[in-house]
Amino acid sequence: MLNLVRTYRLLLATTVVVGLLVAPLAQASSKTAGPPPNAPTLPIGGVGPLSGGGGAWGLAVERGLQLAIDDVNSSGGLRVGGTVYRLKEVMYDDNYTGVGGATAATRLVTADGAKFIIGSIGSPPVLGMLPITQAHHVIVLSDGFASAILRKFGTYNFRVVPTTTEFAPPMAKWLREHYPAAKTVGFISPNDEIGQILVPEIVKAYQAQGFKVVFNENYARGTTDFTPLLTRMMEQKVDIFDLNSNAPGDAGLLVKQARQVGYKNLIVQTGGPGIGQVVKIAGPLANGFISYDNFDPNDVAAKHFVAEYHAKYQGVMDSYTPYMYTAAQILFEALRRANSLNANEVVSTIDHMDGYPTMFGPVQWTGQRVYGVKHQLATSFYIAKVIDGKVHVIAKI
Amino acid sequence: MASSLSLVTQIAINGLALSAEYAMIALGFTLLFGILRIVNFAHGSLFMLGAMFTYEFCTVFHLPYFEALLLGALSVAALGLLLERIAYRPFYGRELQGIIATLGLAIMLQYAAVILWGQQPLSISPTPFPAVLHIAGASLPSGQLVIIVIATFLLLAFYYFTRFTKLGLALRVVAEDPEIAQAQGIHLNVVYVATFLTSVLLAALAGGLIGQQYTLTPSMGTDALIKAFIIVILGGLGSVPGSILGSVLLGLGTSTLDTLFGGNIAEVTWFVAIIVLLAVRPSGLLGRSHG
Repeated sequence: MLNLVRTYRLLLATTVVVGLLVAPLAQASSKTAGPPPNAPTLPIGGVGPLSGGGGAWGLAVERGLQLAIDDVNSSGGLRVGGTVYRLKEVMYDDNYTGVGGATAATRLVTADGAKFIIGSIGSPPVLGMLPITQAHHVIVLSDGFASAILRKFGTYNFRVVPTTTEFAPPMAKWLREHYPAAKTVGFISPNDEIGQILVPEIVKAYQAQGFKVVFNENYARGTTDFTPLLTRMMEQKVDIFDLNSNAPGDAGLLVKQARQVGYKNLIVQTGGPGIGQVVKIAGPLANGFISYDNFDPNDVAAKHFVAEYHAKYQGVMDSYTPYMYTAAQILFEALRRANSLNANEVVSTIDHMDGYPTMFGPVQWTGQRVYGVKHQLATSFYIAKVIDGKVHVIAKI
Repeated sequence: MASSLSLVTQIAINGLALSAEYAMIALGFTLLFGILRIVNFAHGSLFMLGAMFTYEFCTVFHLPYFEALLLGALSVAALGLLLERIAYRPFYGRELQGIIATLGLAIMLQYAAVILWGQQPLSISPTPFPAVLHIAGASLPSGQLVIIVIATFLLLAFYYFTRFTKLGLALRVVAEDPEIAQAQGIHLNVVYVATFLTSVLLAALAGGLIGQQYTLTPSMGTDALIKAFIIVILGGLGSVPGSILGSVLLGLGTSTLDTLFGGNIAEVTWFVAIIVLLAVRPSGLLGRSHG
């Protein structure tokens, strides 16, 4: 018995010693592809709605940024000004609100020392962030559709996704050409910047194509039962029900409940997008739903990224993810080229990156005429439709 | 004319479905106060857990919906047995301390759900009841019909239980006067645990049933709790018939006001009505004043 105990103790001690000897070697070998062990950390801020109806977009920021950071760290880190940095994502939830965006930006800038931020997605949080980041000369690559985002805060801010101003007119034109019998349009939107700033732009786009807007009402964020609003809308004999820039969770519920109260005509979303989430929530009731989309996963240039995403993450990939990844790529390349962390030098470098290859094609900055600053990334977009529970790209604009 | 009839029918159907949802949410809440004098701030979180467990059994374990619903409710009830011991039993009859304890429990359960399921909206898929019925030009989603039928069954079952079973009668005696009940040989602890379990089961069933109509998030219980409060204030805290009356009033009223005037006017109207009611009849429509 005593021998067994001694043998056990000897084995345990040997295991511990071997483990202590091997672990640093294993760690060293796993890190030989990464930055040097003593590389300083460069925090890269991420802001997005990780809670509520916009949760899919927050994940798009978090995951898109992390994948770009993984690419850099696994290649030895980011060399800027003679120093090799290990990049680290610092991500905060903005709850898809202006207050949330302001809080997240304040924490990143003052507590975490972040000089560069990817996100947020959505006008409310981005408008909340920018006064703080602008004042501290922090560079932001974000996506909020409100035109004030570039008009008022264009100095250190770049918008990396086409907005309502860019895609609403061609999408309304496409609907006019493909649904000539449709005459009336209805909108249901949240009673914040979405309903107040973005919907009027979409209304103008429809009216320019000869549609008549017969219903345009708001709801308070957090609403889950839309049947009274939808019942009111149906009384107006709406041919096209447009979900505009409703967050994916809310859009999914609107589609589901619209069909459940008997709405049979066309449901489209000139905004979002969040078509994967809509299909998940509405199930077979999503069939026939048409949406603006900003990414075709079957595109040759995108397939590698899609594979990389699914190797690391489960679940539906929101179509904003590749945009956030591309935004991070542009930022990291600008840091390399500028060879500096100085905000003005990096901004100037980003301004001159036209032609830099991305999965969306070469970088092209536009927006001087509309926003007064060339900080709007120009890309193509798509129109997708749900057919038999699957999302199909039916047009490229 | 046909359009007006179908609009009225649709408002009535929407209102009936809402009333059934509210009745299910409020019943367990008012039961716990009526018997145990506990204002259960964690009621919304238990409702949320019922929805989340149903989602887990349905969508992750791929069980048929009704099996998932039952297992989900029983899982929450099992958790409830543990919670009863540590977070409720010490505070029976002590309203203020019970409020604080259940408030803390509600926050804890909500954030535990965030850790387990994240903050993104989830949905029970595939949709268990995708069919839509048509009545007099109006539509009734089959999922809402299921809620109406089950809520009605539960209310009738609860009425039978409290009127015609020994335990149900004991519950009513304890609600009237615990000391007399004890003197008559009724085991108070048995009644308390039975009441608590019934309340938790009702909350969890409500969550699992209502969850299949909407999306699920860890914060979904907050709205359910607010609705429960409004209903029991309307109907009378501790009064089951009052809760049913309050549910019908709130459901039909919300549907009518929301549809005809919009959500903002409906919200303002309800809170003004409640303030006026509290001023004129503080114990609610069918409630009794408590010392």
